[in-house]
Amino acid sequence: MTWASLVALEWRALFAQRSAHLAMIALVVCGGIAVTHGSVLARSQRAEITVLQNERARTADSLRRALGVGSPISRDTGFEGRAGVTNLDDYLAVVADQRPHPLQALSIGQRDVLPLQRTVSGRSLFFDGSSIVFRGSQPEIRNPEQQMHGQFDLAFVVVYLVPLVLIATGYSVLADDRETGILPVLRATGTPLMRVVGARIIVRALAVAAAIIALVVVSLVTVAPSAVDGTLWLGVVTAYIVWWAALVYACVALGRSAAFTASVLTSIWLLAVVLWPAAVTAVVERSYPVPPRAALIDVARDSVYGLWDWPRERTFAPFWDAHPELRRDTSTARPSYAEHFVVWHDRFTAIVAPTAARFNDAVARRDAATRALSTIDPALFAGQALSALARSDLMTQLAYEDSLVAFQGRRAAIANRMTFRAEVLTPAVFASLEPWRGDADFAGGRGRRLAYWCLLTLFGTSVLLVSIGTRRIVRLFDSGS
Amino acid sequence: MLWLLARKEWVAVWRDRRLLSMVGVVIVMLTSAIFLRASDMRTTDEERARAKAAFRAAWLAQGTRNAHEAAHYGTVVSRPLTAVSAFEAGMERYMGTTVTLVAHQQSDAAFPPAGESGASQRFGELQPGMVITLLLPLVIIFLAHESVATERRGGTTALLLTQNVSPIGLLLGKTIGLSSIVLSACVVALVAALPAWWPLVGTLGNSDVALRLVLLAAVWGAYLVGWIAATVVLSARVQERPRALLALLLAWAVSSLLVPRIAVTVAAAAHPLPTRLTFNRAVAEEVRRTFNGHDADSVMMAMIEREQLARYGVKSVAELPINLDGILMQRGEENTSRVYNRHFASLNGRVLRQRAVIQWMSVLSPYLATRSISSALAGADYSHHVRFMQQVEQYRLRFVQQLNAYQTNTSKTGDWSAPSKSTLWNEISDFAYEAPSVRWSLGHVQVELLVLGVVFAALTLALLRGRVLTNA
Repeated sequence: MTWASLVALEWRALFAQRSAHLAMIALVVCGGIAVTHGSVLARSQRAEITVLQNERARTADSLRRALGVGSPISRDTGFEGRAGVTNLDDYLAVVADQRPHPLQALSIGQRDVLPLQRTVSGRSLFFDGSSIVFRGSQPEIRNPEQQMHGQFDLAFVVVYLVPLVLIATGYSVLADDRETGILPVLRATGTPLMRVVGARIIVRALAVAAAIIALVVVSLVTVAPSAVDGTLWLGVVTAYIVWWAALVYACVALGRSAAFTASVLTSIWLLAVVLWPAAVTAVVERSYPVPPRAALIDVARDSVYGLWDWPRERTFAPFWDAHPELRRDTSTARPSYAEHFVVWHDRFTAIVAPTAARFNDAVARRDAATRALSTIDPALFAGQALSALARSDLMTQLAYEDSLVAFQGRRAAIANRMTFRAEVLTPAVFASLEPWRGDADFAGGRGRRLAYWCLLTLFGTSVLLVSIGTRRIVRLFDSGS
Repeated sequence: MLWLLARKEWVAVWRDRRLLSMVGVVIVMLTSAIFLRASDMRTTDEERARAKAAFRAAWLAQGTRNAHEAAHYGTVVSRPLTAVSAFEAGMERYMGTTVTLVAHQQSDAAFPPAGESGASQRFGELQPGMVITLLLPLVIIFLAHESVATERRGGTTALLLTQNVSPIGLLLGKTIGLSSIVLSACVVALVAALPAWWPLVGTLGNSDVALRLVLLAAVWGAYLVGWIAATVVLSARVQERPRALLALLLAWAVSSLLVPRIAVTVAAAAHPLPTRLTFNRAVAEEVRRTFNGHDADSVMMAMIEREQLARYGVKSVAELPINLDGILMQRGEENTSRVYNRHFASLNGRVLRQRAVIQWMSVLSPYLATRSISSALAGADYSHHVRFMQQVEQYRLRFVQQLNAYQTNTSKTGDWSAPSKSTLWNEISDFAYEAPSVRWSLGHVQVELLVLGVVFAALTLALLRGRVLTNA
């Protein structure tokens, strides 16, 4: 029999069983719930960001009117005053968000534990008005129980449940024939056993893939990511399904009993989705420790305490060194409150930022190590690729935070110029301010590269598994077992 | 006869290399998990102790700093670890560990460890609680799914039934035998890991740690025995081994992976939480609208001023024998604390409503119920976190109040640089968390205890309906 006729025959045989229908329906229902949940979460985050941005725009507009078009920042007004420097700061503030990527509806990743937005202005990123702020100082409000159990998104259905369905439907494709005595009859037909087994696995993989890919395609049409990201996401899902189908084929080809095959496959599944990731976490956290936060706060707190009252040699002098274009002679005219304010924030950032960067670097090294160790685990690798494409992973978060620091520096430069050069804040100037791009690819394409690598690895190892399985089945057939 | 049947299981496992290796895997996994967790806890405990000493030393070394400045300098406290969390990490990874205590604002716990690790941690953490509640049931399924089917296939079921062994007795004997094997493996792991966890019990234990450990062992024991009973019953009902195995694996996946995620998803949809930015804004808005002790135009400020002038019988603020600013700061502090408490209480209320949804959905997942109970016993659940935060806020209010009182009574209005006596800092005691009793901890998981009880009763009933064997 040809491949096509075998596949058609097996397809009819599979779906003649009620359990197959039930399994597919269950998969589609689970997937549907997962996609709905992911979409609702992403939509609510987007809506929240839009509300905040609209409010920010209204605040800026009202401040613009209060300040009056064309008024320079008062040099002597206290911080509560109408033309005071803190009003300027509010004027320059933006909600620097991480706009939920369209694919986040399908792969929530770590978006539920990582912060989504910061208000960025000319003020130091590391000070919130009363205390030092590092990443994680203001975690997003979440139910820790939800975070502990994990999110129910399509990536979870694909990574955890699809292999189980493939295992459940495919573990006994050869053993059943052997145990019921049909195997010699099959071999007598002259059809290569490899083709029979292969067709059965293909049918099962096709059935599962059809259900999942249909869901993915419908979701992609709804969320409308870029063509490249959408295709890659679909590609990783397909590669993952193919990998597990190939593994089932290779284990079935061992020719052992159904219980043995089920045990082996389930053990591999357990290793891939539970044990290896847990081992990676344990190893990486020990090999790449991050400095304790409390110690960071202690160091930072003491290094900036009393900064407002430090002598000018310790504040204005290094400020002029860092910004020589703004230098003015403070011996004849004392620095104004506004000037003192911007210098304070500049120095605060200069002192605290290296401490924060050390911590972020440690976290980045840890994340890189995790990604490296993930490449040998299909579940972890696929999960990471899906999250990276959805920009919902730690790598993207760290890149976002680097962008925040750079953006804040540019905002601070504007505040500095307006304060020290009395540059006038006109509507034209305001309109020319650099906007924050919340939908930027902060990680600079690294997510896509990870996905390409994942695709190659999964397809490559699938080919290896299929060839091992085929050789084993041919040997079984030749050995007359 | 029951003990003979139980012993038979021991012999079967001993003779079967595959089964013996599974028991070995249990021991190795659990021992490793305990060692890893204990090592983590030791490191964390040392870090927190160093931080606590450093912040206390910094607090005491403030010299003659102005009292209000010191209130802004503040201090930092960390959530303490408990001895029982050496076995069950609960939600620790997802809850903040550090709280900054300063005047005029109430901070939430910051720096949850989950934000510092990559994607692998979302797949699970190798800690004893996870091994026992998530992985051991899988091993039990492999150990026990063919326990009755093997007898049936070998013809020994009929033989045993003719030897005056009742069907109920057969199932009970198998359950007891398998339970003793699994629980013994856990005990071996516990003993092997004794050098890791015993010192922690000594350093972190409080008065009821022994009771908590015993209760934790009892809950986990009941959970594992429940899985064994369910596996034995299913093995008796389903004639074909592979189908029994698959049915059990699917039951495990649904109960341990699917239902918990669906439960928290449903809970989040039913009672959504605000974002951090929205929450902070709402609090800041209300503080600005009410009285924060800083707004010179505030009606409240004028009222307090008049009140103090009348109290001391003077006509102007300059004549007051006390520092009016200290009183204004204190009243402002009390007001902002009330505002913060109200908002945090509202937020906590929503989280608890989510919890209620999850609690009732744990009917579908004994894993969910067991994790909740073990997290509560370990003091690593949300209720304990809220309790910690409430105590932290009470401490913050007290130390700010002491500083404001000192400023009020030892300086004049408008003097923001009046030095304080250097012994003032010592008079303000360090924060000491008061852990709750076991009764308090279990009071928050009554629904889960009920669920486990019902599931256990149902399984016992199923076991006692030994007729499944005679149907074979």
